[in-house]
Amino acid sequence: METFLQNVRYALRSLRKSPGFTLMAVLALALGIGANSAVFSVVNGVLLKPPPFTQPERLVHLWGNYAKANIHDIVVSVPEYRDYLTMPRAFSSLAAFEASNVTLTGGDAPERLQLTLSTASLFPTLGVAPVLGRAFSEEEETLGRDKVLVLTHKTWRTRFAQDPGVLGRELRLDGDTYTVVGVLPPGVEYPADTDLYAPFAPTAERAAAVSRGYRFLSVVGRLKPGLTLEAAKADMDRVGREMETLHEEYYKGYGWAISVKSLEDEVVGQVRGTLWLLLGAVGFVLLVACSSVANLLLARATARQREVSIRAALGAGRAQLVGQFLAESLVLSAAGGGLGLLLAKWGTDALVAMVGDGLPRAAAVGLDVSSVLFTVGLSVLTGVGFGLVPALQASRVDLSSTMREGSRGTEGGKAGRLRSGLVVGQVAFALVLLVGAGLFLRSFQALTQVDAGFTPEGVLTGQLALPAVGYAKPEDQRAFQQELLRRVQALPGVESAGVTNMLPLGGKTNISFDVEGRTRAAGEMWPAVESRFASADYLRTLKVRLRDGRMLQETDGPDAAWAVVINQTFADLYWPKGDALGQRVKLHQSDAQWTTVVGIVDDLREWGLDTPARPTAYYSALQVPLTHLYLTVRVKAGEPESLRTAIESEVRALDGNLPLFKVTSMVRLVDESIGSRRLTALLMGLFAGTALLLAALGISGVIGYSVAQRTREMGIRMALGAAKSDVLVLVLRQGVKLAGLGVGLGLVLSLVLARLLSTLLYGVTAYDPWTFVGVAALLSGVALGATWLPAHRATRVDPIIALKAE
Amino acid sequence: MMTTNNNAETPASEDAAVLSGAAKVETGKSLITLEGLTKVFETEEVETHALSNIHLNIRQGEWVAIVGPSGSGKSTLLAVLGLLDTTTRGTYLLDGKSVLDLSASDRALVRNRHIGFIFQSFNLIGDLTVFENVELPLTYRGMPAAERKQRVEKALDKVGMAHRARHMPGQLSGGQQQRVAVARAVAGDPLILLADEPTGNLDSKNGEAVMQLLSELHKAGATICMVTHDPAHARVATRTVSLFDGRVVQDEQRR
Ligand SMILES: Nc1ncnc2c1ncn2[C@@H]1O[C@H](COP(=O)(O)OP(=O)(O)OP(=O)(O)O)[C@@H](O)[C@H]1O
Ligand SMILES: [Mg+2]
Repeated sequence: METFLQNVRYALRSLRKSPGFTLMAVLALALGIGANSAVFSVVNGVLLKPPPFTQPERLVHLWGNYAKANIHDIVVSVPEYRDYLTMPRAFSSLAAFEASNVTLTGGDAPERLQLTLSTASLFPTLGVAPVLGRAFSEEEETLGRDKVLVLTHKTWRTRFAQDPGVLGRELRLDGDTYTVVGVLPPGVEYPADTDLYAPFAPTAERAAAVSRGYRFLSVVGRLKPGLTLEAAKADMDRVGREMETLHEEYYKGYGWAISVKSLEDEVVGQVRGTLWLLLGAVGFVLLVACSSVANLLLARATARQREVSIRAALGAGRAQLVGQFLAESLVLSAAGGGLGLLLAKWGTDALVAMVGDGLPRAAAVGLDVSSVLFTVGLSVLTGVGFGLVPALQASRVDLSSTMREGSRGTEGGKAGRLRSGLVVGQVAFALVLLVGAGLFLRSFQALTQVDAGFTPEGVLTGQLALPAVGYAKPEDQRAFQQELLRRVQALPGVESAGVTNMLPLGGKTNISFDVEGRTRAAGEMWPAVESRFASADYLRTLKVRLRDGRMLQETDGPDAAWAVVINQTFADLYWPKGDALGQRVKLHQSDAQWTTVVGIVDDLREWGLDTPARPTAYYSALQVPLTHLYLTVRVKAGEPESLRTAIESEVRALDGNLPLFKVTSMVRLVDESIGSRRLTALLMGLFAGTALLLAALGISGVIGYSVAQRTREMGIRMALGAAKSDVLVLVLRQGVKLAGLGVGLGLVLSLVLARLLSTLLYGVTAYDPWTFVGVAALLSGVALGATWLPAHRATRVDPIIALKAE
Repeated sequence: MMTTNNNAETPASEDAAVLSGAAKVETGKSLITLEGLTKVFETEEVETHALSNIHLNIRQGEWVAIVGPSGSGKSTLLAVLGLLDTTTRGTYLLDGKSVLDLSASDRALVRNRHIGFIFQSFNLIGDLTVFENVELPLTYRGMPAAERKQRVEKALDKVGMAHRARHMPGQLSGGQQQRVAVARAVAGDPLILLADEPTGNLDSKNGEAVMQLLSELHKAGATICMVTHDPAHARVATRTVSLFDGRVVQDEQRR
């Protein structure tokens, strides 16, 4: 221990004596370690930290599937949930829930909150108990007794200042009065973004047997102890088959099946691949950084050979010499780790801020104990890792060779080969990262060039949720919608305005339908269609191009014949002969009428930029009024945000209890929809850039060092008649050799690893030749540039040096 | 001027050639002519006149020993002769052509074609084999591989090192290394061999061997200009030029 401290003291002193080297090494390590800790913090928070549920690995999500209609992961109806409660044997408990938006009134301004309506079994199923008050009882799953609330910890914290007296408080939500009965422990917000929970009490209509196809409930279950996911799947396969025989009209011939997915997959499945990928990528950055430092240490060790031989001559053993060098690298990595931790703190916050909504469990991400432990562990590991080799190398004093007179020329040797090897590794890793970054960049670029089918620029969007109180009847909803649009359209600066039930890129609401004059063969099912309900000017506001027929109009009202505008994909699929106009369809919805196709428009990317258009129908929102409205407003000129306050005050004037929420520009929504891809591309680019820089410095360093060592040789060669170009080529060739080996190795490695990326890419294959060639060329160019400087220095050697005695 | 006979008569030179053995090539042709050559090093307020107003004529087939005390300018003169260094004033004709105002790349070309260097510290390149070391100047000349091979083998044979062609310099003794260096110097058939204390790093036995080698080369017609500290070695040469303080103070032809 004492010798260790002494070693550390000596290391500190010797490092202070070479501040340039120390700075380089610490910076490289801080970059490597910091980036790793930041990404690890995210991975840890999102993937590794157990969610705040009891035995979360036993929690599953149940989804319905009509495989033959290519419809997957659909929610369930009340009658189906009842089947799930009785027929399966795999679950110790099941719960159903439905997320909804409510407006909280009684404060300064109306506010929109996410209310999750759940069966009383939700909390026991998840394995959480309130920290304050109580959960729901089954008796409260009845209309009239269901106006009780359980708050999330966050809501309790942010709205009630953690006041224990909140129990018994009354809140007005959508005009109804609810009583707070409990508060959940921190971190329990399932489904995501829930603010409040109330019991799910189905209306008689929803609970009726005929509502089997009316699906809106999500179902989670807890597997019985010791039961595997596979066993549960088999169990639900059986249940699916039983349901099929009991209710043929709903299931037979459609490929009905119930899928069982782990809850963890549901929550983080989307980001898991990307996160592990980023952690892997950033690991490569650390490898490159460590090789950089090892390289610096090796060069330093060579320069200190004399010191080492003196120490050895004074009787220092190999272990002592190694200890000395190791102490130095540990000091370096400790400094790098410390600085890295600061970088990580900053980086983690920046990461979470950048992904924002795109990251599940973002709240759980932070630089906590495990991140710090990870950083410390990483620092020690890298310290020993990159320090051991140079230490062993340096401690192997070859007295005979240093003593030997007459062996003139350069000292290539093991250290030189090791350094070259490290640089080859750096180049290879940098290439792998560059390929990754290139592929993600190309994916991102491909996405931004997708024709979304509409013009987002100049459009402001916002949402409104009409409560049942005051807007129960379709007439009220219709009147609100018309008055809202009339007021907004009258605003100066507004070009047009529309409403819909779901914005582009927003997700799925497919509803099945009938086509007039066609009957379904037994077992055949028509693919359900994306169904949108829109006001007359909605598509015009988005500047969607009309291909044939007409757009929806104000006259497509409740008393007129029902009209629908469909997209090209829909028209091509059902009426490939081009005779879609004038055909009639009918939604499978209680009060739907036969509806005439009046127009065909361009395809819109309703599911996201990376998902090709699906058949989509736009019904008139005057014929099927909306309770949840997405308002879209196109400005005549300038920033759409400039209209925000004017629109908000119109809404207030219309109904003082209705907040316009999630107000944002359409451009922003488009941006956010590809935000995580942008971040991935950005991070990969950042990592690759860092690696490239370190590799370039590595090449330059190694070649520069070798040129310095070979000064005399260069002089001799020039004395013998080598022209400047001969010397230049000699040195460049050395660089090209290193870079070539690195690039070759990197390409092989990339080809092996590219497969891992394929599912995360868009519009480009994992083996995209342009990326591979481009990246190899870029890296070779950089390598050549990095060699140029020392090569040029070599040409300036004075040949007269050959005459001087050594 | 304290110089004596720095413009030897042609018959004397022929005579020397006859006396020194069997000169098979035409001798007497003026190879190197220096006139008023001056080299001043300027370092921080100190001007060192390393060479002052040197007049020197070296004819084909001569073996010139340059002697003088340390710091007298011997190495500087050799560097100038070998186009490794520039001069301050004067003219230098090599084989009748002025070479002082050549560009760096032309100087490299002249070094490569017409001058063979033998250094005190051998200066073999440690990463290259004996063969490759000897081949190096020929490579810079752009000579085809087959011809290079033939020349290298001939040169190595001449110095008795053919059997060590595949060895690395580190595996050779000092004397052997210097013989390889000699082979490298003569492989390209230069106009003149320049040697700066070729025996300086060798023990007397190895030194004698190298001198023997140079004698043989001289007998075969080589023109040699050699810096040496050893009076015994200087006596082997056909002519001794003594430098003192950057000036030629004596120029003695023997036989
Ligand atoms: N690059 C230089 N810069 C300044 N002065 C120099 C330089 N090279 C040589 N000199 C000076 O020029 C003079 C002649 O040096 P030179 O090396 O030619 O001597 P030398 O006769 O070869 O000596 P030695 O027998 O010790 O090798 C010396 O005074 C030396 O200090
Ligand atoms: Mg000298």
